[in-house]
Amino acid sequence: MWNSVWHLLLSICGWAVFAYMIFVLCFYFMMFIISAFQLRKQYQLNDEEPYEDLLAVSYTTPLSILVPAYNESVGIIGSVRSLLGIEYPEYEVIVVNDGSSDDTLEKLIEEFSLVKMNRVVRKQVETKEVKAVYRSKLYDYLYVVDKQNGGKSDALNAGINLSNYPYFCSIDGDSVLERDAFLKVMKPIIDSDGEVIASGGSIRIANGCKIENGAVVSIGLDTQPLVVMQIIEYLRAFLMGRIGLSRHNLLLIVSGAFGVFSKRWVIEAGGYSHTVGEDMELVVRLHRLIKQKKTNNQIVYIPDPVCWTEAPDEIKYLRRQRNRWHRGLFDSLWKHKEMLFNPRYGSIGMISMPYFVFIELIGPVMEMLGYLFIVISLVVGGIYVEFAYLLFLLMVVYGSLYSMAAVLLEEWSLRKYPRVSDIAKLFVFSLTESFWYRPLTVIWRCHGLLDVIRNKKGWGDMQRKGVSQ
Amino acid sequence: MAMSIQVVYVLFGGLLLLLVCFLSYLLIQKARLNAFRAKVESYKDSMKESLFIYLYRKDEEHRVEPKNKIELAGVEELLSSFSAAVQGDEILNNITLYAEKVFTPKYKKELHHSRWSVRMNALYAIEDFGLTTLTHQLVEMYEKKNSTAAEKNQILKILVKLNRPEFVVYMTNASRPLSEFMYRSLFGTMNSEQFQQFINKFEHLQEEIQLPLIDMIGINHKLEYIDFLKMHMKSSSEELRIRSLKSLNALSFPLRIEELTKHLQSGIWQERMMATKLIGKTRDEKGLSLLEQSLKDSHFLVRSNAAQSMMKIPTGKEYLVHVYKTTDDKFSKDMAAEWLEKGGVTVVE
Repeated sequence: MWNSVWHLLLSICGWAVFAYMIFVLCFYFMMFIISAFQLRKQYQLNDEEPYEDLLAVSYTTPLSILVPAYNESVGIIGSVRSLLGIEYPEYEVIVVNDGSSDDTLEKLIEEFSLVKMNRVVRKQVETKEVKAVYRSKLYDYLYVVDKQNGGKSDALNAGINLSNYPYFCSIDGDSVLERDAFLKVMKPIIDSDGEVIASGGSIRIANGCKIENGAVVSIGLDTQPLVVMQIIEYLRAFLMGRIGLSRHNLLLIVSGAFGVFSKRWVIEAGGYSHTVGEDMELVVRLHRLIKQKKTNNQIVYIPDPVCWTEAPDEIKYLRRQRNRWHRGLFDSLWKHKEMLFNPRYGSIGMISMPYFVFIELIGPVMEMLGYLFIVISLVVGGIYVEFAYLLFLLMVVYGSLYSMAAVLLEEWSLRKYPRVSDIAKLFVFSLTESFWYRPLTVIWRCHGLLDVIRNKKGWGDMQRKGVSQ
Repeated sequence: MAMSIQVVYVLFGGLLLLLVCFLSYLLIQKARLNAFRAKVESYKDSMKESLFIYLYRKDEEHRVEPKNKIELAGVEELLSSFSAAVQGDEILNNITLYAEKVFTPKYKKELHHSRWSVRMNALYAIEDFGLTTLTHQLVEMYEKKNSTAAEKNQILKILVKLNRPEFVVYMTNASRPLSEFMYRSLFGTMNSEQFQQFINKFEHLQEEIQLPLIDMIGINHKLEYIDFLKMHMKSSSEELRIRSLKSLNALSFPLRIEELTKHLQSGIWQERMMATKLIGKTRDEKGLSLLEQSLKDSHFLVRSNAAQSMMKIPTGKEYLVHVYKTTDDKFSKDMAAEWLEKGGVTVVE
């Protein structure tokens, strides 16, 4: 009796994972095709010409760049320096020191000759108390806000209150932008007369690239397998996932590390909220607002402009990051759960939300079940062994082959990596993904879900080494 | 089951093989392209001087005749960097003549390429080099149904620069309106006759063309249109009024206080804000009491600009100190403090 129940359970589990994998594979295949066409269309487009007009005239929409900093003493000077030299006609940089306990503020004051200013701040979003506002004597477009610690979202809200311009961009303190990144990311907003209310670029991994004075001098690969795997993972997420979603205005994520938002819309939506995944949560709220107002506004992703960011190179920190991301994902989806399958929210409710719930959020659980099924079947033996092989192959297609395809897609379109050996290396590494890296991330993400259930909050410490030399 | 799993193995193997084949193709491509780039760079280094001398002096001895793909790419890149860097009608004209001779067939072919980026790159080059030989193709391309908005915009820019008559109709009768930035950019590249053409038919234009036209008067400091702006600041359209005031402000034109009082009472904060800015430009002390009222405005930016404008009027600083000391209105006080401090006056509680 128990034996047959056990077999039945095993078989249901196996078939469920099988059906799920087939469905997900088909879904990603579609996304892959859409992305491939979209990317290829722009293959070898002149890198400067499309943006020359924006750069040449005074009436290009000005931009406020917000840099929340909490204990970023190591990297902050480098990233601010890189922002002071970007190519954009009119912008301001606002660093928000979120009650750092290290010498972030002192370093900034000294490096940029900051002086306190008496400034009436227009409080459009509530934040923790702002202690002081500083202005640089060297660069009249650099401001620093010193405030009580309130978390990243609170820091961003304080930056929004202080900003002078109609669009703002949030940048992580430890990332480096390509010089023309803002021109590229603002172009769809300007071209659409503001119909595009948020636009995000790609995030890639800076480890292994040569960075001097806050600018990427040469692009390369890191030697550590753990970092190389993340490079592939980012390629896959951005090139295969986001292009497809963006094309149909289904995008629910604009990375917190590099995205431009319309200030008016964000304020109307209530600013950033205090949650682990504040960047995603805001975008969901913006989509909600669009649907409620019944307008045609869009949120887009542009593959070309790249923000280079430091990836964790130790298992410990990577695990924490993934755990946190997954909790953030859960939080954002949970807060807006009534949108799921709600026809009132159109394609966001009927496609985006289900995609993020069933593929992004539940995905690791299904993969975990798959791995368990395979292990158990191999141990038990008998009729399930062949089925286990089959499932394993599917998971290799999903884990490795799709990643390999993403690497090829990058080389077929954007070609950011200069050397032939880089591509060969990425390809070989992606082949190994299913055998070690993927299972690890699956475990970490499942762990994140468990933590949510056990109601664990907070960020966990993140170690920063600084990417700039 | 056994049968089906065999099929799956084969499928999997096939997929893997496909990826590996594609990888090999891309790697070979990459190696070839890297080698091609290296050759182009070395060709550019060797020809740079010669080409420059030819373009400057029309010295036939130094004329460069690209013979293959590498040389063509090299010359094109050199020419592009020259045309962006040099000034002077003569050399620019030489660049155009040379480019027309060497590149016309290439661009003509590329304008029909199936990939969007190739067509766009050709259009950018045609604009940069000022090629006049392909205008007929451009007009044809503009009229084509499946040309993208980006292509059409780029063609429009070229037609404006070459002063082809078609641009007026294309701009005013576009199937979907261009972006405000695009209209501004087009008005910005126009010569004064072209610009005047649009001013003449202003009343017949749609508002989305009228507004950027007014903006460009301010942005490009076209002082000859001040009366035109003064007329439209009385318009019944809110947006036209705001933009006219904005352009007058950009021109720093001192209006009379009486012309502005009505706008200070407007129900739209943007209009009130522009009016407070312009009162600062009058430098007329009569404006101070009006600005004091604006310091209590419900909108932050009106208050902020009122204080800023006071500082621009000769006795404004003293007036603002007075307001700071006497007012009960917290908003006014804060704002006065900020701008006094920016103007170098220290206020102590």
